Order: sequence, then C-alpha cells, then structure tokens
Amino acid sequence: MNNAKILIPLSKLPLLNIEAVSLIYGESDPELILETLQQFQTEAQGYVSQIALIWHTGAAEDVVRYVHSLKTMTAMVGAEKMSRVCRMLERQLRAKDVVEARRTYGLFEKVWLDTLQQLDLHLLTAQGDAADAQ
Amino acid sequence: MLNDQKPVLLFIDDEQFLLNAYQRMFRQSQWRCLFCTTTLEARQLLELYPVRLILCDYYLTEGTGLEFYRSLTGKFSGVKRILLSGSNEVLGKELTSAGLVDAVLHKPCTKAELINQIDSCLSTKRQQA
Repeated sequence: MNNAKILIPLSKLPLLNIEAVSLIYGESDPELILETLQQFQTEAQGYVSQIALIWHTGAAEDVVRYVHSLKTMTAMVGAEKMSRVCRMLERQLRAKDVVEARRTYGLFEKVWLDTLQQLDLHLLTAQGDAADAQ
Repeated sequence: MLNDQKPVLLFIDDEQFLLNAYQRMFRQSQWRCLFCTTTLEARQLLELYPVRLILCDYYLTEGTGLEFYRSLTGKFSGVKRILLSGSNEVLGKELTSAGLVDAVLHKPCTKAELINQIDSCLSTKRQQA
C-alpha cells in the first residue's frame, strides 16, 4: 500500500488523510478513528521529541530507528506528507548523507508542526461532533 | 489453555502503536490473536499456545524478525511466518524462495491485505528452509 504514492510530489501530499485510517483499519467507525488519532498524537509526539533530543548528540542509529518507526506510524493514520519526509530522512541518514539529512530535518520539524495543527483541528471537530451526538 | 478451536496467531512488534492497531483490526475475527513486543515474550507465548502463524516486524529492539525466525527450530519449525517490514529494502521474493518466511508484507498494511495473506498462509503447508 505504501508504494502507490511514491511518485506524487511532496507538496501535493495531504497532511492528514482520514480516509487512509478507514482503509487501513477496514472500518469507518468515528470512535475508532478518534481513538487511533489520539493515541497517534501522544506516541508520535514522543518520538519527535526523542529525535529532537538526540539529533545533536551524534547517535545516528537511534535517530534512524525513531524516524523509521515514525514513518510507519504516520502512514498508518494518513499523515502522508510527514511519512514521506520521514522516508527521505531515513534514507539520507542510512546513507550517512549528513548535509542532506540536516536540510531534511528542518523540513521534518516544519511538516510535523503543520501535521499536528491539522490533527488538533480534526480532533477538536471530531470531539465536538461526538459531544453533539450525545 | 485456549478453549475454542480458532487458529492462533501471534503478532510481534516493538511499536505499541502498531500492536494496538492490529488489536483493533482483529478484535472480532475468526482467529485468536496474541500480541507481544519482544521475542522473549513471543517464545513464552509459543510454549503456552498452539500458534499456527507468526506475524513479526523486521526491526525489533533486540534484533530483527528474520533472526528470530531463523532461531525457531525444532518443534516450532512448522509454524507459519509472515515478516512485516517498513522498508522496501527487505526482499520478499528472496526470503520466501529460501524458505525463511512464508510471506513478506510492507507496512503500512491494510486489514484486507493482512487477512488475505493470513488466509493464504494458513491454507498451505509450510515450505521449510
């Protein structure tokens, strides 16, 4: 499933594609989506913080591991732009291309903030809808 | 230990988020699903339950899923194996031809992809290395 969108330019990829969650989980239950996104928000933020913490320590292997995990997690919730940036960063880190990896890390930070903003917006709306329904 | 006759599957992934995802996908399924984050726990579960199929992540905290599969010999050599990989560098055809695994799936996998592969693996006899 992760090969289909490789040729789409980064700028055209969505920050958050909720339909991907339904496709991956095989159901469109709003509660499941909400629960999944909330868990993602907490865990992914933990990984991003860890990456930021060790980025300057030179522990490249640890960074690769966290970026690799984040790549899959973001893909699982349809955070397609972030997933692509993680893929790029992982490849550059594994190739020890420090110059490109530094450039991409700036993008990584920006796209993560944009993704979080989009995620917050979606969660607020979804929680509001759930409250209205009760 | 398990009273029903459902085939038992074992998911191994050191990412709790992904294990939770598999749990959500298969909370109501025709299989009995077990979940763990380490190969140590996996070995304990293999001793306790009649596991038919293992779905293991490639990158684990304590090594790789492939190393874990290689170490499963003797009474566990007939257990079916699916390798889950987040990297396109893992060469599925080579690994399956060599009999090291029964299938390789690239993450993220949809529920439908997982079900198809599980069905396919459970319906055939394991070709051992």
